[in-house]
Order: sequence, then structure tokens, then C-alpha cells
Amino acid sequence: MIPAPSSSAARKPLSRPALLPFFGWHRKDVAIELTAAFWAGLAIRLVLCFLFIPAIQETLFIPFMRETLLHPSLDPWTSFIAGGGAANAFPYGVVMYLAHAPTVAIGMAADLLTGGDLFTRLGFSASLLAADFALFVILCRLFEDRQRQVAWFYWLSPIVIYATYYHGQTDIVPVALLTGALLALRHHWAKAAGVLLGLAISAKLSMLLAAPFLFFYALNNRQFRPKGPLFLATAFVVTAVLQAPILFSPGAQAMIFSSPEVGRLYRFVLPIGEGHDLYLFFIGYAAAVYAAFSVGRINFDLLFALLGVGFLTVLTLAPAAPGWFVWVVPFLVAYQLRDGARERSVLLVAAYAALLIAELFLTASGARAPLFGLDHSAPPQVGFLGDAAKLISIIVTLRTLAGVMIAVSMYRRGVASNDYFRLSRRPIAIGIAGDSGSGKDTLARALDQLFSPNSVISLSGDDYHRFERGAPMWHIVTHLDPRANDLKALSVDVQSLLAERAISQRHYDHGTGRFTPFRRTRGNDVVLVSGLHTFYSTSLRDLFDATVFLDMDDSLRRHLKIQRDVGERGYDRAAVEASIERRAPDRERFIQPQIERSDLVLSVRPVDPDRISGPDGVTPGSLKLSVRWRDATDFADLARCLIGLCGVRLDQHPPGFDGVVEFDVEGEVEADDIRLIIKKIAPEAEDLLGPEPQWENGLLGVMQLIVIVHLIRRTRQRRIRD
Amino acid sequence: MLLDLDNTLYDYDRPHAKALAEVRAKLGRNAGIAPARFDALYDEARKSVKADLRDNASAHSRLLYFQRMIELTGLRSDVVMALDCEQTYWRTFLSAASLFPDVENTVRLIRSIGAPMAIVTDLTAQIQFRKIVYFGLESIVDHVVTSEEAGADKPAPQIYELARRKLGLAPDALVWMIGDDAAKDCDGAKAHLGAVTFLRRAGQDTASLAKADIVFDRFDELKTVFERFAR
Repeated sequence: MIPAPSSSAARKPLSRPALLPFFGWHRKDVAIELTAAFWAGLAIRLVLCFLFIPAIQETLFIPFMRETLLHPSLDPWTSFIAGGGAANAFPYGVVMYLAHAPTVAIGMAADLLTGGDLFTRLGFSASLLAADFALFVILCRLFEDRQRQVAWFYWLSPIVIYATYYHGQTDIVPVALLTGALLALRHHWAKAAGVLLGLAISAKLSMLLAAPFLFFYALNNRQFRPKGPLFLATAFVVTAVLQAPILFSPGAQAMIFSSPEVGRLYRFVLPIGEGHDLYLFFIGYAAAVYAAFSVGRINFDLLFALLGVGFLTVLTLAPAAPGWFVWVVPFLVAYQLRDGARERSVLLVAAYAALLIAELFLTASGARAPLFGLDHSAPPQVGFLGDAAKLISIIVTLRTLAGVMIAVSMYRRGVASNDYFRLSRRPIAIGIAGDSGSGKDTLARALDQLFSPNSVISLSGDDYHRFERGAPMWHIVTHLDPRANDLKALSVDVQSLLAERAISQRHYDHGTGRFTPFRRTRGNDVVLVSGLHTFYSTSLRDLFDATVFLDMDDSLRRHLKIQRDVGERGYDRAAVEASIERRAPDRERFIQPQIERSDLVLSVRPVDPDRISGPDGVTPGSLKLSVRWRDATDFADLARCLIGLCGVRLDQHPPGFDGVVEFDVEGEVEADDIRLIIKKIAPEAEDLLGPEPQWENGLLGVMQLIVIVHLIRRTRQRRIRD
Repeated sequence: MLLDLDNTLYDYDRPHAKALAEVRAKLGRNAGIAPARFDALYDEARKSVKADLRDNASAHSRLLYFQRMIELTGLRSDVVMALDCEQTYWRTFLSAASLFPDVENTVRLIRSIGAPMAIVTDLTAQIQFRKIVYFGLESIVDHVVTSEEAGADKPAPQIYELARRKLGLAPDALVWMIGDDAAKDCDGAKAHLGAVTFLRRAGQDTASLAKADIVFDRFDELKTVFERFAR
């Protein structure tokens, strides 16, 4: 019935208790599933390491390592060349040298004792294997719930195995470091990411190709942006420090900058007459970087896709060295793991890998296996197959075609997943309306702090009063009268902000009753408008993605308004009370009707109405939140979570017409519970909110929750309509 | 179909470790309990509560563990601190917990076969209900049986008897039990309900595994089994 235990028994995590207290790592952080695919991959690697000697390791890397370790010098590159060594022996930086030095040194010591050269070679392979395994673990952490597929797509990837263990290149080291930097970025560990990126670049300079993409990510990713400068600064400093030795090493400069690999970048050309050429590589790579620049906001999936596209472009538009193909493997793994059309992407990558291996086998140096008498140190003569050049050209053409197809679909899917909320097309607009003292500012502040710092621009209706305090006109009209407010200017400003144009903004200072001077401000991700008449004109109302009306219980509002205006704003008490009375008719005429134009009506009421009607100064006692929610598709989920996870009392009124749901919420709610609920019912909120959204305790937190859930529902519709 | 909850439908160890670390950090900050001492205290408190309550739902209560632990430090019953620790524990626990892959598909498939379903689990109703809501299982299963309402933990006959009553099982009904504990889930369900038992391997020794009718690692294996059954 079930597969025999022996075949699938291997599931115990690989444990490394020794690492436990290391940097706060836990065993599970480095654990992998020991599946059959893992053992198969390991076996293939070990067989290749023990039995096959890659030509480039034998002739270039290992002699370099051996010589420079035997005659240590501060500048191994220069002294190696001075000693008559090959000028292309080790075109890598400090980190690459340090990555291989310990294991090679141990191998050399073992060889001294045993005679022979086996252990030096194994020492070099061991550092490759370590980097390879580290990259595998990093990918398992990046795609935690799809570890078994990662084992297939990465650990059994013919590209990695061939290029690293048969051809013998060491690119796996910088790629592991770069992917480590990506994992750190994912977790917002800015410093670690910067250090790892710097290490990757100093292991192999080509990793600089990834830098522009990471640069744009650091600047444009909503969550990571606050830490972006720290990441970039760290990466810059680490790179500079680690590159410094190269500046003082003519040998390293000669090896790195005049290596034949650099020349490859100029080989793919388009003749444009008169002996001039277009270098295709630069055009292609610049186009990929421009795509990353122009896309605006970048989420993590898109960063992965962009890096994949960038590297594939390089591999397609420059006759890449065999080791370069390892660069793209982590991104191919991600591409194959993405949902939707998975079979097609797996097939495409398999075809790409197969063509590539055939190409490398025919054109690049390989390895020799003395035990079997095999020698593939140089590309084989394939005369027996007929026109070898033509055969190779066909393979390269097909491989390039597969690469282009992968790059195109990688880009398209990356962009489709990106920017779930279409924020790069238009900011999100939230409107709040309600009478004076109904808690608009409090809610606006509470919403503001959910988003990234500086990503919200708030407009207050008070800033659009026509007159300053004391102006004679206030004897005729109240603030609640639409004529006392420049609603047209408000509407124009909101439209400008949504079109991402700058506006001139002034503030009404409640302390002095005067306006501040105008200041130019520019729109951002979220436009938050709160005011008395936000939904008074339908044209303004229709601009909002979410419309919230605050309708506080009358006696409670009165109580709190007196408290605020007398206590905080320092107005005269009798005047405040008189103004409340004077405003009552306008409130009924101009303010309350906006309820009908709002998707969400939130009103805070006392649980016990009698407490509030007593003499002033009595605290209102415990409060409840009454909600009237139009198009409340998410109500059932939300109610389930509020009851199940927060333990609130929730009373739903009998359902009304037109999908309007009304309910009361009462109880002690903790911000942590709300964080849990949002993660559960609206995981995509992560793309919308800031890196550390400040959820409030209590009813204000519930209000934040409902507004955000509603906003996500509405923007999701906007996404479908677009 | 009877289902165990903890460590059968979701991985218990990871969220537990995270939650305990959070409480450890909190008590380190607020009560100056060193991490090493915390682990010893927690262990001692857990053993002591278990010794007092034996095989009873409350014997798993984190609130009682934390209360006892705080008492062991000489702070008497600081109820606020105990409540705070408990809430921190479960919140962290839930936010770190997620169902194993394919659990939901499998459970829905079993449901489509028409088998009535109950979650049969040790521990108190309050937290188990919260977990069930959090995982969104409440609309899929028909009944929940906790050891709190049965008065005894698995493999006691009471809890299985209660499951039989709730599901309205005939004496000769075919019963399936999916669990992770050979003694509690497999032996218990077999002895009291004659169930066919499915055991999640989760690193158990061969002696334990031998007690189950079917051993599985992942839920997609079970899905295949039930798909065949559905046909």
C-alpha cells in the first residue's frame, strides 16, 4: 500500500549539534531532508572527486595553490607569476584564495606524509563540495517547503556537477556567497547580506554583475528600503576592503583583468560597417539592468527573476566560459519551483542543461580518470561525427534558444508576481470621513504607522478650510458647511497625488488657528485623506480604494471632543459646548449622509450607554466597536479569527440587503493577535504594509485590521480589473 | 476517521521551540531568570504538574507549567506573569505552526469519501479549538474530542468511547485513526474501536512502528491510499 519503509525511510534531519550556539543558529537551520536524490547527488560528486582529475585544476588552480602555500607571500599572485607560473592560473580574488587555502593546505600536509598528490587534489575538491553543499542548504532555506524538489533541481543539476567536478571550475564558491546574500536579504539581515555580497564579489569579480539588481532592490523594495542604505554601505565597505589587496598586486590584476574570460565579453559583435562593431553583451546586460530600474518596486520573487534574466543575458550574449553557467543555477531552481506551468519550465531547463553539457563536452576541457584510462583533458576530436563545427553550432544555437525562452518566461512570471497591489501604477487611496471629534486623526495615524515610514502622504480636511480662526465668515457658516471648505482644491490635490504629481500643501495649525506656509509635497505609495467632507462630492469619493466613515456614539463623541478641545487644544469650555450645539443641524445635513457613500462605517460606542449620560468627567467605561460593512466578503473569515484567536465577543446583526454586514465587537484584543490574524487571512498584506507594521491594542487595532482587510479586498479587485 | 492533531497534522517541535524561546527571553528580561535556569525550571515544573495530574488534559497546560515554574523561583503565584507567559507561548506557537504539506487536500479527500471525521486530541479544549480555527480545519471536521471533556488522555477508553458516541459509530463500523504516537493513537484506537491505524513515522523506533497497520512519512502517500479507496 505504502512504499516500503526502506525506500523512503531517510527523513531524519541531518543534525549538527556542534553548531547549536553558533550565531544563534539552530540545528534546523542547517538540516536537510536526506532523500534518495540527496544520496544520489552526493555519490555522483564523491565518485567524480575521487576518480576524475579536471584538467584546469590539475594545470592551473592546484599548482597555483600549492606553490603559493609552499612559499607563502602577502601577494601570492605576483610571486607566482614571478616564479614562472602561468599568468591565468588563478584569476580570482582574496576570498576565493582563502576559501580553498585551508583544505588544500591540509591535503598537502597529508600528501607529505603519504607521498603522492591525491590529498592536495581532494583538499581542493573538499572546498568545492563544501560551497556546493552550503548552496544546497541555502536553497533549502529559501524554498523551505519544497526541499525535495530543490534536491532534484539543484543537487542533481547536471550543470553544477559537470562544471564543478568534471570541468573543474570554482564558480560555485561566489555563487554560494551571492545566494547566501539573497537569503539574508529575504530575512532583512542587512549587514549579513552586505558582507556576503562583498565576499562574493571579492571571490570572483564577475559577481559585480549582480550588484545593480541588488542596488535597485535595496532602494525600491517596500519592506527592505529602510535597511537598504545599511546593506549597500556594508557591501561597499566589505568589497572595498577585500579588493584593496588586488590594487597592490600587479599579479592579481594581470590574472583577473587580462584573463581570457574578460575578452569573451567582446567576442559577440554585430558589425555595423566601416569596421565598427556593436558589442551585444553590453547592450543586453544594460537592457536587463534598465528593466530592473524601470520596474520600480521590486519584491523578492522579482529580484530572483531579474538576477536570473541578467545572468542568462550574459551567458547568451557572450560566449560564456563553462564555469559561468553555474551562476544561473540558483535562479533556474527558483524558476522551476514556481507555480504554474511547472512541467514546461522543468522540461525547458532540462533541455537547456542537456544541450549545455553536450556543448561543454565537445568544446571545453574536461577531466581525466587514470584508473579507467580515460583522458578528456582537451576537447575531443569529433571528426567521426562529420562536420564538427556545424554540429557544435547547432547545439549552441539550440542552447541559446532555450536560454532566451527561459529568460523571457522568467521575466514575465517575475513581473506578474511582483507588485501584487499594482502600486507602481497608482498609489492606494484611503478616505476617512466623519464629524469633528469622531476619531479621524487617531485612525489616520494608526493606519499611517502600518505602512513603511515615509510612504504615506496624509491630507487633512482641516487644511482646506477657507478661513483662518476668527475670520468673520465663521459667524455665518460652521466648519461643517461644505461652503466653508475648499473641496475643489482637495479634490484636485488628491487627483494630483494619485497621478504621482507634486502638490502644494499647507497645514491648519490648531494651536494658532492659522495656516502654515505652502510646502511642495509629492505623492507616495499611500494617500490618506481624512476630513469632514471627504465623501461629500461623489467625484472625490470615487477616487478612493477604501472609504471609511467614523460615526462615534453621540454622547461619547461629545464627551471626548470636550476633553480634546478643552484639554489638548486649550479652547474655552463654554465655547466648545456652544459650538457643538450650533453645529448639530449641519452635522445632520452635511456629515451624516456620507454614511451612505462609505463602504465601511465604524462607530465606537459605550458598552453601557448609561455611564456616559451622567455628569461630565465620568469615564465612558468599556467600549465596543460597531461595524457596518458593505461588500463584506471577508467577514466570515474575520469573525472566525476574531472569535477563535482573540476571544472577542462578536454579535452579528441579522444580515441585511446588498451584502451589508453589521456587527459589534467587544473585548480585549492584543496587537500580537491582530498580527496573527492578518498573517492568516491576508498573507499578501506583507507586500502592502511596512516592514514592521505597528498594530494597536484594543478596538483601534480591530479598526486597523478591518480597514486593511477591506483595502486588500478592494485592491485585489482593482488588480483583476486592470 | 479519527485524526490526532499535535505533531500529526502539523510539526509540533519547531513552533514549540520558538514559543519556549520567546518565553525564555521574556522571563529573562522581566524576571531575571537566566536561560539555562529557565530550561531546568520549566522541566521541573512540567514534571511536577504531570506527576500531580497524571493522564489528564490539564497535565499539558502551559498555564499550569508557567505558574508552577514561577512558584519554583520563589515568586509565589504571580498570576499576571503566568498568564503573560502562557499567552506569549501560544501566540508565538501559532504564528510559527503550519500544517504539513497536503494535509488539507488529504482531509478534504477523506471527507469527500463520506467518512465522518473527528479530531481526537489530548490537551485542553480552549487551546485546541484555537489551533483548529487557526488551521482552518473547523469547517472540514465534524467533531472535536479533547481529553479535557473525556476526563482522560489517550489511550484511555473514555476518550475513544466519547468519539464513538459523537460520531454515532456502529459496533462493527470501519474506523481509521491517523496519529503520531504508537501507544496513544495506534494501540488506543485499535483496542477500543478496532481501528485501522496510520502512524506518522517521525523518527520512531521499529518497535513502535510495528504497532501501526500503516506507516507513512508524508500526507501525499496517504492521499494516494485514499484516492485508491475513493475509486
